[in-house]
Order: sequence, then C-alpha cells, then structure tokens
Amino acid sequence: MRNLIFLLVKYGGVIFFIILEIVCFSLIVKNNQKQKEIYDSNQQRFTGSFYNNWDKMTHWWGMSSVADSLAAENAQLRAELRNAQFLSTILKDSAYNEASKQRYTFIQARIVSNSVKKNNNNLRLNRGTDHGIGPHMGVIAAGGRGGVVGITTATSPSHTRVMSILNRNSRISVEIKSNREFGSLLWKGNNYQTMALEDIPKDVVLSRGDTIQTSGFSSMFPQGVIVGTIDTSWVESGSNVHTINVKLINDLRKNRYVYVVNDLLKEDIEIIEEDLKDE
Amino acid sequence: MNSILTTNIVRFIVFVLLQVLVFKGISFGGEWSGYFNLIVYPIFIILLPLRLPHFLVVLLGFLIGISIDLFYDSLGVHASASVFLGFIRPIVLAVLSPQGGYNVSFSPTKARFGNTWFLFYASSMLFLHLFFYFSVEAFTFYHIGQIFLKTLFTFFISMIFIIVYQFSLNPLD
Repeated sequence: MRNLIFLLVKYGGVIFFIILEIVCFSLIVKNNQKQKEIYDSNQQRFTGSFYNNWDKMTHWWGMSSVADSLAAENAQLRAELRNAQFLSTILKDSAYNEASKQRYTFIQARIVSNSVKKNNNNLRLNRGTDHGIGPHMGVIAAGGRGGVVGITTATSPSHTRVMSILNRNSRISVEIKSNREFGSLLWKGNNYQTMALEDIPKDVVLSRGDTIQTSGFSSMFPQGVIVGTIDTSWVESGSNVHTINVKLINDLRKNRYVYVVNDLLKEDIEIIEEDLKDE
Repeated sequence: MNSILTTNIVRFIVFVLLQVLVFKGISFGGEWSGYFNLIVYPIFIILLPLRLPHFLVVLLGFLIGISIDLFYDSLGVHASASVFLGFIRPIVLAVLSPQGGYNVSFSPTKARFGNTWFLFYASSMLFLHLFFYFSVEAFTFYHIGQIFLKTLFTFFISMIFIIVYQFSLNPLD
C-alpha cells in the first residue's frame, strides 16, 4: 500500500495526465460536432490511404500471374505470325494457293536468374521439359522491341539453363535486313550491349543503324527476329571482312520474360544434317 | 492547512461561477469576438499550493476543466487544456525556480514570491493553457496562425483580470 502511494506521488502526474487526456479526447470527439468531423475525416484519410496502399501491394502480388497469362497469350499469337509458319505446298500455276503449316511454337518462360558481367553468361528459366523445352532451342526476349536472349543448353523437368548470347561460346546466324548479307553474331566480352558481327565481306556497303535480324538458317530462331542495329564498323588492314559492332535492341539486364522457340521441323532438318556430320 | 484547503475550495467554486456566469457572457471585438475570450479560471490551477502532489494537480485540473465544459457545452475541450496545465505546472515552476528554491508550504502567489516572479509564472502558465486550448478547439494545426492570434488576444485581456485580482485582493494563499 505504501509503495502504491509512493508510486502515485512519484509518477501519478504522468499517469493521470495520460489517462485524463485520453478521456478528454474521447469526450471531445464524441460530443463536439466540429472536432468529431475533423477527427472522422482524418481517420478516414488515414485508413483510406492504408487500404489504398494495401490494394497496391496485393495488386503487385497478383501482377506476376497476370503477366504470365499475357505472356502465354503472346506466345500463342507469335505462333500465328507468318515467319512461324512453314509453306507446305508449292505454288502451282498462277493460282495463288498457299497453305501454311505450323513450324514454330513459342513457350513462354520467366528468367529466374541472370548475369551479364561474366565472360560466359548463363540464364535460368522457370520452364523445362515438362513444358516442352529441350536443348538447342532459341530463346527470344518478350516485350519491348524483341531481341535474342540465348540458346537452351540443359533442361530439367521444370527449369532450363540458357547460354546467353553474352557468352563466348555463343554463335548466332544473323543477317543484315536491308541487303540480306549474313554472318555470325558473337560476343567479345566487356560490354553487355554490344556484340560483334563477323563474316560480312568488305565490299558490302554498310551504314550505321542498319537492322540486324536472325537469318533463319539454323532451326533455333525463326527468320526475321530483330537482334539489334549496326553501331560502328570498319575494315582492319589486311582483312577482307568488316569488323562490326552491333548494338543490341534488348537490354539483357532488364529482360524478365522470354519465349523459347520450338521448331516443329527440327527433326526433319536433323535428318539431312546427319550425313553432313559423317563426312 | 485548513485555511489553504478552504481557500482553494472557495476559489474553485468562485472561479467556475465567474467564468460561466460572467466572463462567458462578456463579448467584445464585434466580428472579431471569436479572438477575444476571457478565460480566467486557470488561475485556480496556477495558485494551487506548491506541496500538492502532482497527480492531484492534474486531477483537479481535469475537475475544473470538465466543470467549465459542462457550461460551455464543449465536453473535453477545456478539460484537456487544464489537465495539460496541471501536468506542465511542475516544469514551469522548475524553469522559474528562484534562488534558494521554493518554500513548499506556500502557494505561488504574488504576495509570497513578488510581482516579477508572479507575472512571469502566471503569464507563462496562462499562455500555455490558452495555446493548448485553442489548438484543441481548432483540432488541427491547419490554421496555426489563427490559433496564435486567438491565444495572443485572449491572453492579454485575461491577464488583465488575473493581475487585477492578485493586486487588489493580494491573497497569501
């Protein structure tokens, strides 16, 4: 009891102050119209902004599934494009009788790990053999203005390793859109936005800004996927090819969604390539 | 001791009645009358005996404030200000502590501690009370300028009454 009185004398002022101010303010907002309105509107603003932010957050959580479904739809639409088709019949007479058959399908995937800083960069996708991905398939960027990402190397049921185009072992067959001159695109390291285009003879006229696209010579990429533009080019003395720097159209640091290109005629092509290997 | 208790009970009743019957009705300043209020009842808290425990000062602050509120039809507004005043009183007293400290058996009156000290003490207390009161009355700092003006004008006219009271009656406790 004495302790209680001692405590009351020592801290009672603060305790009574806090309790009585709470009592006063609850009386104020209960009994006074003006203060009640101000309190209500402020409270509403507070809870309103709270719910607003909560909504934004949950919206973000939902975003990835929305993006997934949109990417899947895009993959389907891409498969309907002309360059994904294979002309199965030949032109007869003058009649314009073309029938096309599906050649490429696209499997949408998300990049779950990536690097651009190493000499040999690799990526990992969240799709695998369960989704129809196998090795040696092309990977192109989704969204933005497109672009090439790499080539699949290893697959597990639900994940795929991709050799990035930013890899010294990567070699992609490309062409210059305006004059259909073709060459190989490879990476010399050091800059994740620039690649080298080789094997273009020095008598070909080049201009800065020419579009580079996939040639379609390999079965990995359909013809006409835009890769980048010519940034700088020159001819080394004693060389008979151009040295060309290509500026990539996509920023590989920022790509998140990709399509894996599935060539339905791959085996068909491999049959004729087979005897080439024997030689 | 008994006389101090009686004095304070009488003061409580007198100042509540003065406030709600007289000062509440006095209005001047025309359309600016909202800026000129006569709020004199805090003198009760200002003059409470020095040795009264802090929690009792806070509690008495609540009692007088809520009594005023009942007549002003503003339940809680005056009470919150006088609870705050009761709470802040030891701090003000500590800041204005005279050389050699206080004689705790006294009440903080002009007669006990002199004109200058009392003026400083009473005006700081009244100003704090009024600023808190008008802030709670506005219930937002959006019109902070208005709160300051109301505090200032009310402070000056209320202070006159406190000075007149202390100098004319000059109570010891």
